[in-house]
Amino acid sequence: MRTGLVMVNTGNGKGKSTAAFGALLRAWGRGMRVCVIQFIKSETGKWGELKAAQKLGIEWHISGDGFTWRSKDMDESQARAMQGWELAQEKIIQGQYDLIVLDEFTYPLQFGWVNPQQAIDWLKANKPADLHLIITGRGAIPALLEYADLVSEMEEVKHPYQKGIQGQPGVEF
Amino acid sequence: MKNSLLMVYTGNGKGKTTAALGLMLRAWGRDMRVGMLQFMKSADADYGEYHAAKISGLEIVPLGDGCTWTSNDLETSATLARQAWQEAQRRILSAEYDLLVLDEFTFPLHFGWLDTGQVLEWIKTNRPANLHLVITGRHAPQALLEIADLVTEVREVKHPFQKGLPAQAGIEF
Repeated sequence: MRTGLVMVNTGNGKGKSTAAFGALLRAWGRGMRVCVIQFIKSETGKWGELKAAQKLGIEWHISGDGFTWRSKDMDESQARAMQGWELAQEKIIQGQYDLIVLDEFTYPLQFGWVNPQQAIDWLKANKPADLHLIITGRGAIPALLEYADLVSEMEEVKHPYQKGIQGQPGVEF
Repeated sequence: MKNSLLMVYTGNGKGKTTAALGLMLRAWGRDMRVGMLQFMKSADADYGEYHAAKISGLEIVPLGDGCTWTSNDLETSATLARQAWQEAQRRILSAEYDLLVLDEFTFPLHFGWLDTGQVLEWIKTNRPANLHLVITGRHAPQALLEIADLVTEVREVKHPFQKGLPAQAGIEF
């Protein structure tokens, strides 16, 4: 029996979504059933990723797309996030996937668009034991890190020169 | 003229090679010509990315002999690394790529199988202005960080091995 891992890629550096996408490719290469739900429509559009996913036939959803806003008192970001989370719950509980990526899902949790404690409790109760889950984004909340099996922090080393010379303790160059 | 980048993913966390795979896939999605040369992984290993590469036509070339820490013959590893570097030089100069990944290339530098000063001087002089070069691996030498345009350090915050969970096919490899 495979143990499904909950993995979080966080930090302020580049490579969080990218690493999730690499993991997706690797899993897809093994014939695993994979799916992406993208929570934040980024300004760069993730166009390259989307094109690659289309070329490979990887299922990819952008949360909130095709959704009509009925509520005027709800922020669009929140409405999109909630709709994405509903879709994610549906996909997770189906038990038809081996790996699901919730791209930039840390933001809805951080901003409270999705109730973080309820979301994590729901995952604890409902995530199939053999489903791998990858959550990406900056500012992962402590409850999410606590729940995760694996956490990688992508740290942007903006001034490697200075940092190296100062010899940051614990930093491995 | 594109402003191409020299990018380094280093640190002790998970997601360096995976991020490079994701970058490759993104670029491939944009119809860029991409390749990955793997300095440590051997051709007879079973990695998810090879399956994915076979299916999608992505080029991933294993040039190493597996993990050095299990290798009996370090001189063989060193010789392979030198041959792999020659192969990398050939491909860098070939003008056949828009993005090339030198996966785990930090190890031959760190272990001194290759002369870091000479290698970096060669890269500075010869990397085509329109070629994105990505270097991954732990222990990136300081001199490499100095010439890189972008450095991301991936930190291990939490790892399932700590919980006693074994490596998972499709996720870890």
